[in-house]
Amino acid sequence: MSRTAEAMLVFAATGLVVFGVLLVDFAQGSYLDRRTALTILVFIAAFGALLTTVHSWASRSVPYLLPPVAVLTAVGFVIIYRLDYGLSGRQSWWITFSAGLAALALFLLRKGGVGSLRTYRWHLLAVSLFMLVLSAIPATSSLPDESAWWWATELLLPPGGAARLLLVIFLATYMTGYERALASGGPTIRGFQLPEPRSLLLIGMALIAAIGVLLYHQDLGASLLLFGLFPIMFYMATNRAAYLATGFGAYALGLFGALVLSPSLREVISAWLRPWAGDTAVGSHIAQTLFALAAGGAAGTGLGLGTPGLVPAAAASHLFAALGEELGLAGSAVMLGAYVLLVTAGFGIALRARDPFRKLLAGGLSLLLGLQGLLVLAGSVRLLPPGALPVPFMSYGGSSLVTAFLLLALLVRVSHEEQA
Amino acid sequence: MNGPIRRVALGLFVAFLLLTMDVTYWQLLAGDRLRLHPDNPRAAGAGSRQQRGQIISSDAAVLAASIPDPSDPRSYVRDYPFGPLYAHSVGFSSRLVGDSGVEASHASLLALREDLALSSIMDRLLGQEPALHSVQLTIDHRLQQMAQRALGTRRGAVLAIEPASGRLLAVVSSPTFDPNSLIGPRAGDAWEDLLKDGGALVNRVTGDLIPGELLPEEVLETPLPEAPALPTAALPIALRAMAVAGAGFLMKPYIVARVFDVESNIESEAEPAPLTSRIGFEEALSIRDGMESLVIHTEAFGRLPGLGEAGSGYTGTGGRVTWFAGFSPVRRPAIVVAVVVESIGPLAEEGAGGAEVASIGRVIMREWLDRRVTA
Repeated sequence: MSRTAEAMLVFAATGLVVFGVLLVDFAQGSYLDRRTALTILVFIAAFGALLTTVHSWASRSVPYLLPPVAVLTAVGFVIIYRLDYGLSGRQSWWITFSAGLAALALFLLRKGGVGSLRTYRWHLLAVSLFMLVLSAIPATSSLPDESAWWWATELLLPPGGAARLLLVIFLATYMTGYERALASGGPTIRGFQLPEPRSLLLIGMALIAAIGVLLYHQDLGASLLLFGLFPIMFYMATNRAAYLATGFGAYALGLFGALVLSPSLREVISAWLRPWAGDTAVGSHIAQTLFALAAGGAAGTGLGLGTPGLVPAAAASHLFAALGEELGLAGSAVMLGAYVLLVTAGFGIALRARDPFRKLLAGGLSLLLGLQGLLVLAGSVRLLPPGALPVPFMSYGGSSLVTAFLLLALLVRVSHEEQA
Repeated sequence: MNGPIRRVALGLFVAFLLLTMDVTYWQLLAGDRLRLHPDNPRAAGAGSRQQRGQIISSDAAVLAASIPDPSDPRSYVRDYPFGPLYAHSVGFSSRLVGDSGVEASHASLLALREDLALSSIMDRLLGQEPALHSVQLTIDHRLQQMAQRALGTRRGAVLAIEPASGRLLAVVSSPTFDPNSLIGPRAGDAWEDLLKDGGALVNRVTGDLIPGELLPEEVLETPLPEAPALPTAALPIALRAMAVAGAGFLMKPYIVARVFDVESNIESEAEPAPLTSRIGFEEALSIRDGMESLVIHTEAFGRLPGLGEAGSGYTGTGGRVTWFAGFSPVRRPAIVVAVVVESIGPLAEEGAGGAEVASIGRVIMREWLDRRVTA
């Protein structure tokens, strides 16, 4: 596939925005106004600019990354437009801003490459730890911020996504050149060789942070994502299943401890197991997402014709339920397919990479993207208790879009360097 | 490193496959079960942002209209100019709670738009609001206001029907609530309060909880009970009085008089239909003999020619209910009125309160007869 084909696919995806917005307007009896027309133009301009940047500073990158991202962003935008006209204006601003930041990242990395990030490994760790501490601040309100500084709060909060991205980069820099030591391992107890001690220290820190998320936010998905990155990335670097066994074994113990400690976490879990009892907020939350999916059926109610506003946090972590209601199983399948394509392309870059750092970085970024998509969607279909993770590239929010597009920029850059 | 990376990728791929299977289960296999689940608000039409046509009274007062949502000017919310007065007849259409009353029974018609008509598309492109179907009720706005005033702060219901056609003239249930409170950002709190109190959500015309039907078929088809055992809702009492007034013959009550299409032409009009009577001619006459003549002497009204009966009974929860049913005039009655009033507290003396309840009914009949004379 050539760059031209990539550009055509991306513009076809932006065509989805035009089509979707018109359908929503028509179904709801409203009409296309100047602001919406401008929004669509801004959207097309943002992806046009991103394509141009990739063409100039990452011309040898694989062309499989941008099209699925454009599809996901377009569909997510249409759903948000349908749910909340006011919010969609901000979302188009955030998409433009994030695409701009991705372009800026490609520009800054054009000479030094991703390898230049290795200089900053401890800075990365420090900032991500700071972000994790910041994420302990509880959200004051679920309503969109109306103050003059809304963009600042939305850019920084929730900080968990940025922390995870920085952690992945840190882990890749930390493990590079150190894989053999990590693989040779630590003390042996009854024939089971424990992982290397310093790596155990890192995994232990991750465990504390993840159990903290669990106790603080009762969010199993976010906690699993934060923790899971560590043992899985160590496994990718060393091919030692002991990292997975020790890591997830310890996490299971931590989860048990958290359940004993926190009555509110127990409530969330029991409501998740019995959502139809209908007397808890979490239970009705789960029931509403499933009602929305069921209302969609195979082909959906049609854009603008369902009632996805009944789903709590439909523009954020439960965007999938709103999509499933109005676009049906067909729409869900397109969305899942786009994620699988994107994650597969990411792992493809990792597998073809020769440089160990770039290999680990691409693998870690793809893992972050895939695992987050998986966990947030699992929260919408009752495989996990509902959480507050954003759907990458789709959910409303400055912080999550910026993180997702920076991740995309890094993958594009790695791909460019490895095809060189 | 390629081995473990490939295995991790494969693991994620399998997990996505399982997720897709789960999504398929919820969207296709579990679909019907969930769509009909009692907690699913979609069944009641909740969440609608569409514009709907107006609901007007027989004397052309606007009882329900769509106005642009103040928080999102591109969608619509319902507005009820008379607030609590029609909460139990017109009902409400709330994004949060769903639809009730005529808003529920005629929901699809009121929201019907001719999307594919060229004129409708042109209107849309020019930014004009497309015309909608509207519904005219049989309720007389002035009589409704009068009935509400006559019932005052008592807990109970008033039902006035024109026996020759079956059209409802006034439908009042008290205590009531403001349906406008179920619209807008504070709807959740208002609904919680209503659920907690509960009294205002009981439609004392049917005895059902909102959102129930206003004229349920099962009530219309139920054999009419004996006077001392009359249920404590106004509708069965009114049906019995209608049967007596018609000497065993009665018409089916209805509340929607006609539907106007987008060009304000009459699209359909209700046709009065007889209801299978469960009271024979002889029985009707014998009940009629037992009725008291509704003669009242007041300076303002003079004599009221009519017949009526009053009684009392108990609600399911042990409260005491005093009821009255009557019609006027005796020959060719123009109006049938049923009144029920709950009294809270210890059981009062037998028969006490009957006169008070009967006077509510008489005031309404008087008003209607006087209007006919002057008209």
